Amino acid sequence: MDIGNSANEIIKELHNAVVAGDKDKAIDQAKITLEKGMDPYRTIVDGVYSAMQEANKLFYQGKYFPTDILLCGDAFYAAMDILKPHVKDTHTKGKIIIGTVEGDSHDLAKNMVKIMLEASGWTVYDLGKNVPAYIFAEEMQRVNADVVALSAMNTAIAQAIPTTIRRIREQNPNVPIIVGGAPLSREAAIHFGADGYADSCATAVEEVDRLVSQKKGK
Amino acid sequence: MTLKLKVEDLRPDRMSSAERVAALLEGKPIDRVPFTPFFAFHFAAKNAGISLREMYSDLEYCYQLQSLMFKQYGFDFGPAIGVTAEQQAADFGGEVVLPSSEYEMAWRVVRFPVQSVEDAWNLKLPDVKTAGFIPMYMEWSKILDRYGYQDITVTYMVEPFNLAGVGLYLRWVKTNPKVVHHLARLNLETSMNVIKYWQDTFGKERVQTLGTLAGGTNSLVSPEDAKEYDFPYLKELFERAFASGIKRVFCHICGEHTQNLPWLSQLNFGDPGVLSFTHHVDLADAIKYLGDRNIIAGNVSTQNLAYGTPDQVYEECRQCIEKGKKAPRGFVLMTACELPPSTPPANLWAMRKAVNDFGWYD
Repeated sequence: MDIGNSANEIIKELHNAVVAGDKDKAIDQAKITLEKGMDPYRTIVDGVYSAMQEANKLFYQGKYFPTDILLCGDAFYAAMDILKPHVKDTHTKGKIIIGTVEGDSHDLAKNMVKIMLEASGWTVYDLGKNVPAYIFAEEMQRVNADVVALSAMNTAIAQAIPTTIRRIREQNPNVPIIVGGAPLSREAAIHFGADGYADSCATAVEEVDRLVSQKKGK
Repeated sequence: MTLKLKVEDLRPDRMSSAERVAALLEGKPIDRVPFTPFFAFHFAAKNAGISLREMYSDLEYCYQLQSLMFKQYGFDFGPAIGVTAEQQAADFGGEVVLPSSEYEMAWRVVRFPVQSVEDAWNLKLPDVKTAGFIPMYMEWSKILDRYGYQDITVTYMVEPFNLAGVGLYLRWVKTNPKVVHHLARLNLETSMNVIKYWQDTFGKERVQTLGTLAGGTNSLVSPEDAKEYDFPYLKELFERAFASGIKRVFCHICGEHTQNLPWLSQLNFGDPGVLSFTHHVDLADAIKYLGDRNIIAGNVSTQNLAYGTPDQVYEECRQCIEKGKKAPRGFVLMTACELPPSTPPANLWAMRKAVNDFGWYD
């Protein structure tokens, strides 16, 4: 079905609803795209992923705060729930497991990173919070993850990161590991044995993509 | 590697820690910059080779071990107890647990008292004589009283995100302002009830209050939202607390609050208040906005303390002292947040050495 400009406008409306964190409108617009017979995968890429990229850019620029990102995330997931069952081909950049390390119950930053990874085409396996090292290692093996992402939100708990990395490396010495969280820096991340570091969800996707490209280039 | 820090005897103090802190608070001259951790509860436990559970199960022993640790490292302030964010969740009927892993520093909330809008509207003010952690705080204050402390600190302040958890709270900031205001009001009234309980127990002239402002950090909310949801309640809390006779306010401004400094500067924390900052806020900015009426404390990075070398800690402390030393109402070199239990003791000597080398007022 060729609906031309009308399709572009609907996609734009969906995009704007997600950027505004308007979940109800995002659901309505996602349903309209299906009713109009629009390609759900293109809708996801052009309307939903693009919206989260814009939200992420606004966050990076300091114009959006976590309050905004969470609402954008809610709208994003609501639209995805409508659209994803209609996508025939699975397009994914790869598989990544993510969680907060043992002892850490602060999962806000991890959840924001998860949203941005999913919105950029990664398949994310979220292990939740307070995850022991052996669970990261087991899950990495079970899903054959391409990347592992660890989060820690205070200085004492960050000490669980090197332990977790060692455990993961015992299972797979080559899997790229990215870490993030308030007590960390790129220097600390490298010191702990990680391959990459992101200071927020705004830079996490770029860093994960970089790590994977780097690995493929080897 | 080579240690650049010169290992040598330190210049003798001319004031005791108690004299120095008292003079600082009274606006009188002091010999050198005081230094202290913000909290060092878990560090003190590790320092003595016991668990956090043992620390909490015998508060008098906990006091003694903290006193030992403060003397051991030469810190100028004294023992304190804190469960901070987790405390209010328990006080309103939530469930918290002691750390179960070797990495945790504090109590962990396993169930917040508010999990829905309906829960929020049904929430009742707790009985401050029996609820949650408040009896433990009272026991701690009575220990301080027995050990001869004149000023008794009660730790309580308005922080609505502690009741619902950060995920729900942040969504409500944008979608349900009435609920956020309602929770802030409940916290405010509870804070005042706690203060009154302490004043009734120890006398109005002896009670001071300490609180942490974390929910308004710009790492979570915009400065506009922080002002909307924190400013009116903090303003009212301090006005009512001072009117009730509270002696002093200590406020730990936790996290990135640089954009909040303009509205924070409109609050009266007392004369002087004592405001501590984490490493996210430049001390020069803190002093510019708040230093004319408050003692400024901070902000040696806990990352650096835990993972850095003595030379790195010494250099950061030098920078902090050089920024803070000339603050109009005074300055305390303080760890940015709770002292990590894994901090190498050598880094604490480096902190003291920086005070020795750069912190003298003559």
